[in-house]
Amino acid sequence: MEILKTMNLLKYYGKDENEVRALDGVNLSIMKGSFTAIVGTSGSGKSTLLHMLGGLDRPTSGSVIVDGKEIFRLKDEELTIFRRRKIGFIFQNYNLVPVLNVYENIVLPIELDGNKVDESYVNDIIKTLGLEKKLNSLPNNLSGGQQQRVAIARALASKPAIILADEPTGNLDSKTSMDVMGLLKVTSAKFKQTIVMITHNEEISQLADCIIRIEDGKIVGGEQACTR
Amino acid sequence: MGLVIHGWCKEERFHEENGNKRGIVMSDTYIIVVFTILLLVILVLYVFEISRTRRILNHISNMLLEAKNGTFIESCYDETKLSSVEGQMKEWIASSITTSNQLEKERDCIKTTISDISHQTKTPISNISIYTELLSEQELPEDSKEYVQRLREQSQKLNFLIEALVKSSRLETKVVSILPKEHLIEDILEQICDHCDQKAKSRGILITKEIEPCSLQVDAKWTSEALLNILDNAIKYADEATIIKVVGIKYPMFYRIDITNRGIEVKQEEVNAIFGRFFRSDNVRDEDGVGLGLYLAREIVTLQGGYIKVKPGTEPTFSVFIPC
Amino acid sequence: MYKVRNQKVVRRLSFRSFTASRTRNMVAILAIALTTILFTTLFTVIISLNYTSQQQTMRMVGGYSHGGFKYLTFEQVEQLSKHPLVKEFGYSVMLAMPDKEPFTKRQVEMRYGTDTAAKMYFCNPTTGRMPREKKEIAMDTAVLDLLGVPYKVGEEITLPYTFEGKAVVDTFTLSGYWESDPVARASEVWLSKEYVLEKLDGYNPSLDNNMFGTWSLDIMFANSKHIEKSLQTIAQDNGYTIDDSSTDNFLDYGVNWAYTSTHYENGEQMKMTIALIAGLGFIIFVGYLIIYNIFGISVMNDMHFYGLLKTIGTTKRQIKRIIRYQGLMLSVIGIPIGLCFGYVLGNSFVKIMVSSLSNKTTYVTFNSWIFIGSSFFALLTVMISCSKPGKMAAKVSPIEAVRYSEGNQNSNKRMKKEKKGKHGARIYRMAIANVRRNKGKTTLVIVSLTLSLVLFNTIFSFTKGFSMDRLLDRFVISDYLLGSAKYFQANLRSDDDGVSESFIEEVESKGYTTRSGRIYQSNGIAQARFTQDELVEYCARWGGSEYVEYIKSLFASGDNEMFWYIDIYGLDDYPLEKMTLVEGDVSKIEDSDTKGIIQIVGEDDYGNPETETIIKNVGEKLIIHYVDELEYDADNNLIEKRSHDVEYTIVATMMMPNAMSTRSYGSPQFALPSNSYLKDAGNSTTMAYMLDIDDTKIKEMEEFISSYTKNVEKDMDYESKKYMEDEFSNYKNMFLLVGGGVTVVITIIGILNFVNTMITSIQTRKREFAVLQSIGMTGKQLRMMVMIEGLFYTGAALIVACIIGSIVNVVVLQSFESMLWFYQYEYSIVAIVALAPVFILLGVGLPAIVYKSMVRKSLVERMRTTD
Repeated sequence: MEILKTMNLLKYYGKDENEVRALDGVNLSIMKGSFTAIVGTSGSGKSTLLHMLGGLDRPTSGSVIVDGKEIFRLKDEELTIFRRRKIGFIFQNYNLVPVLNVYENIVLPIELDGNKVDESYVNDIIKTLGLEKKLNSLPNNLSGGQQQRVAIARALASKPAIILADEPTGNLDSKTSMDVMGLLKVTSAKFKQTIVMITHNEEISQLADCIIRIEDGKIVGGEQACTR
Repeated sequence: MGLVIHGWCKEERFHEENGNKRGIVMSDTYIIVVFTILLLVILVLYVFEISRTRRILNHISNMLLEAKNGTFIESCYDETKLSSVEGQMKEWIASSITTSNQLEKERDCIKTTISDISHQTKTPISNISIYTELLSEQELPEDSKEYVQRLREQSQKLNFLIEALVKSSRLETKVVSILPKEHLIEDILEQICDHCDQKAKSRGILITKEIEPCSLQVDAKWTSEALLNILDNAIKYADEATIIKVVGIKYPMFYRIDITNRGIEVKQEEVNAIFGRFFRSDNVRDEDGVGLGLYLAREIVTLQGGYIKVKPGTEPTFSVFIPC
Repeated sequence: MYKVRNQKVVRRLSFRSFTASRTRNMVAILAIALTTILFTTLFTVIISLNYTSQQQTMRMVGGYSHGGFKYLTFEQVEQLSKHPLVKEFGYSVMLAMPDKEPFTKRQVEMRYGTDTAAKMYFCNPTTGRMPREKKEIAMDTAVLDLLGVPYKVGEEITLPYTFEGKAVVDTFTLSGYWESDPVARASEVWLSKEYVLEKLDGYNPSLDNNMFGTWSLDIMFANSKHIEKSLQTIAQDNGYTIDDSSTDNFLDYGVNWAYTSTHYENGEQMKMTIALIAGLGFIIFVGYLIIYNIFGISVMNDMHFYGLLKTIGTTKRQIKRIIRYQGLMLSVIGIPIGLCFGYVLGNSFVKIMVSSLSNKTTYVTFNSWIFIGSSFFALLTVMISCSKPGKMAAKVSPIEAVRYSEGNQNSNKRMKKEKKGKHGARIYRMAIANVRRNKGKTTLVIVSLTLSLVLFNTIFSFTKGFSMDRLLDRFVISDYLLGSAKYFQANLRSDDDGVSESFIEEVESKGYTTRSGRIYQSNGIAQARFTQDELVEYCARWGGSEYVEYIKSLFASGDNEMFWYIDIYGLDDYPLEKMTLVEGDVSKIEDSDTKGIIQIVGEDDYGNPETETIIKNVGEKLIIHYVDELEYDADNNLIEKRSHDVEYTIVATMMMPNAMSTRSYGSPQFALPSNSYLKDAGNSTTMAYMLDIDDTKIKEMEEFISSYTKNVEKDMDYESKKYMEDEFSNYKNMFLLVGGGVTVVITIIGILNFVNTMITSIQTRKREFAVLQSIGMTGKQLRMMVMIEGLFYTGAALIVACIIGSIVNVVVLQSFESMLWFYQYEYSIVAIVALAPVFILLGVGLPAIVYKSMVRKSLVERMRTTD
């Protein structure tokens, strides 16, 4: 079942001579439950693409359909709420809230929605990611790998339709990267999450079920459709 | 007013004024009090309404949670709208449970059928093997011998296929379960390397080992099976007289086992597909194989909470990650 | 080996980074200017008040010279004036003091004096000049008015005066004149040297007690310290003495007490010094609060920058210096602004204070100490405020600084590692956690907000407690009280000092009167017999042991009783009603059998009778000796010509409100109903006239009486309830204005602090907010969070202010009640409650505005790591 689709996505910056074509007609289709890696060098447009997929930035033209909804038809606040419920983010620099402890960081999106936390589910995630002993710690007391694990837990906890990871291992050393990515793969498989990850690291990209290559704002290789 | 009273006049006037003021203030206060009370009443009613709505929504949210956990019981049987909504919910839940139960049953049915079939075919196939063996020991004309040989090969293949199917279906139906116990990974790897030693030597392939010792919670039998499948493939698809590297590295959360060979290329696009059931890449048409080895291996590893990663190319590496 | 020359680069770095942050600069300059304003105002007020008081006293005394010698010969003048200690001198000689018409009511002195002397007496001509020709004369406008001469140089003036016991009339030409000083008690009339010396030729000064014909030498020393000692030195160096008045070489001297009186007694000076130090400390504290905050925040914002500097090799000291230089540059701009405004503000305050406390003129001084002092203190405050931020910046570890974000500042130190709880993800909890991130900063902001609230409340409560009622009770007993100007100055001397009949007629003719009555009294017309004990007990109250001894010495001749001067009042019915009974039965006074008399006792500040001054008991007999006529005897002493005695019985002791009394003390007082008084005393001088009028006519009456006493009968004066009320309101308003002004400045500072904190805290967390929005926090929720944070600051400030304000109210203000009789303590935190909506609005509105300006950029832009 198709969970994410883009149709002729275009993002241009500037005018005439200074025009930059960050995305030049991208058509993607991501299946539910798959783990996709978008690979490209810096400047290839992969970050821009991810921002589009997550509704963080609006395209010049084209549409993005998440779980059947054309997200750019929504207004800003509606989009934020959509994002809160349907999209989970994992950033390169973890981006945890420094004044909240690990547990509170994990359940933040759920609390923002005003919902009750599904304790058993969240505990399951916490255990799988090996964070049971660190629930009361503040982010400043965790290593990079641990912080990223918390970020993964946060992304999983609200059961989004799709998880977007932006260079998740960018700030980690190679061993920690493999570990963290391994956990991401295992947990998302276990909880049947769809993941789209952008990276420039070949080894990390091999963890994905399928790899899409992007260059100069266009898809140049890899499968156009990912199946499991 | 007389002169004498005049002295008090001022104070009296003062009191009079005060008195009048009080009079006016009296009726003013009255109005203000009534108005404030009215306002308060409206406010209280409003707050009450809001909290009631909120309560109802909370109740429904709880209902949904309970439904998900399968613990939903109707809480009230009256004529309120809430009760009728609850009733509707229960109906829908019941029907969806039934549906999913049914689906589950059908799936199980299929699985058991496959299991039965595979089990049932085991006997006839082993019989075919026996008879083929017997036949091969007989004195036969040349083309007959060839035909017997072909028969043998095919029955072996069939046997192998059935065995693999049986194994995979058993895993899927959970007839056989994975029982993790404490094992030293270096022992397991040592075992499987020994097992493949013969075959490797016959093709002039050297297996090098670089294994970091580690104690893991794994099911030895099944894990060996999985790793064996991969190593077997590695030997099968490697070029003659090459080296196969087996490396074991301990990571903080996983243990990584890399098996690298040099030989038939693993294509980038097929990296995911090769784990599919019965998949055989075009490159390997000429070789023997059913296409279930990697499928089984991935099932086993995934069931133990790990995963397999492939580095494609002409020197491909298969990395097995097992949680530790 | 000389040090590396790196000051230049340090200065360049300071300058560049200084110009980089304009908002910070403007806010800092504003804060520095405000602090300087406070300092300058403080200094200006103190110095100007002091100067004004000094000037006023000097004008009352009659001169600004430090001191001088009196009753000298001209040779002595020449001798003494040559002494090295004398910086400046003037001398004069008095010719006469005319006391006949038209000078009966005004003291006029006719002198020759040097130009310097005229300046020293504040009596130098502003138009024209001092007399040089023989028949030239100079005088002030008051004397010109009395003589009916227009203010024109060259006018002919005929001046009658008495000299050597004979009347003299001479004509002069006006050479110059000046505006008369209403404060001065006497007027000077300058004559030419030729004329005066001619007249004094052969005159023996001892004829008139050395008043005329003797020279006065007025001296200015280098400074006003040790005036007496300097005079002594001059005298002794010239072979005279100022100590022993019996010797021949005794010189009479005088020290201008305008100088000594402003050197308060030790106790007063201590209080002043303490108040000054407290004021300085307070301002330093307030200024420190905000300037420290501004610098602290700016340093935090520039942590990248300082860390970067460290990585390329800048030392701790250099970084501290950079920050100090920035502080210096900001001060150079901010302090002069503050000085100007502060000076103007301070002088306005002084004008307001002086004009409401008394109707005298204010004297503004441009004392450079004001500016030096405030500049110094302001700079000091800035430097102190820079020190801690400087240390913070210097301590930055280069690597951490590169990765700096607001949550990570004190990573190794007291930062919390753990936090219990599962529900912190609620919006309000996050807001509170954010506020608690930097406890120091939070406290700072809350303290400065609280301070302004408490001050506001205290001043408001204080002025609210000014009880009009108590004032009116003490000072006013009827709508109007008419009397002569001398009466209200407590300067009654003779029968001429009563209230004039024409005045009473004019007022009554208006027809507004509802009730009226006369109070008869005249000085020195009655005496009564008292025993020694009675007198001693009575007089001990006024004078010390010396006075008691003096009294006792009068009894030495062995008599046990003596006649002593008393005051007797004759009271109409209306004034009689105003008195309160202390003891006895006043109705008995109507009895025709007994000759009743009422003993009068005074009122203290709280409206209670001064019972210690009751000299006789009710029921006792009192013999009063009325003096009907006086005459001069052979030795020129005044003696009684005719008198008579009357015996009375004291029927009651009553308390008389001070407003209707003689307003003096020292003699026992008694009262009779008017008809008895007029019959017995035979004197009909009305001391004061009391009346009540129709309430609707108060404004007209006030206008009428005030212009009448100013223009028609200048010798008459009045007190009115309305006038008192107005005066009191003015007084109250003065407090409100001055106190309010200071509070406004401090409130601005507090709010500035709050604004600064909010703006920077939201700016620094730009990235964090963007991240929150990316994981699903709506703009509304984010805005709610910062609004709650802002509300926390102002809300906490309000609550703490209520508590502290109440404490201050109860502790401090209540104690004022016993110190200030017109103050009635009333608990009030109304001011804080009134300001509450404003503060709440501010706390909620400001973050919303700042937030709005921040979200204009798109999410992605805000999330970029490099800032």
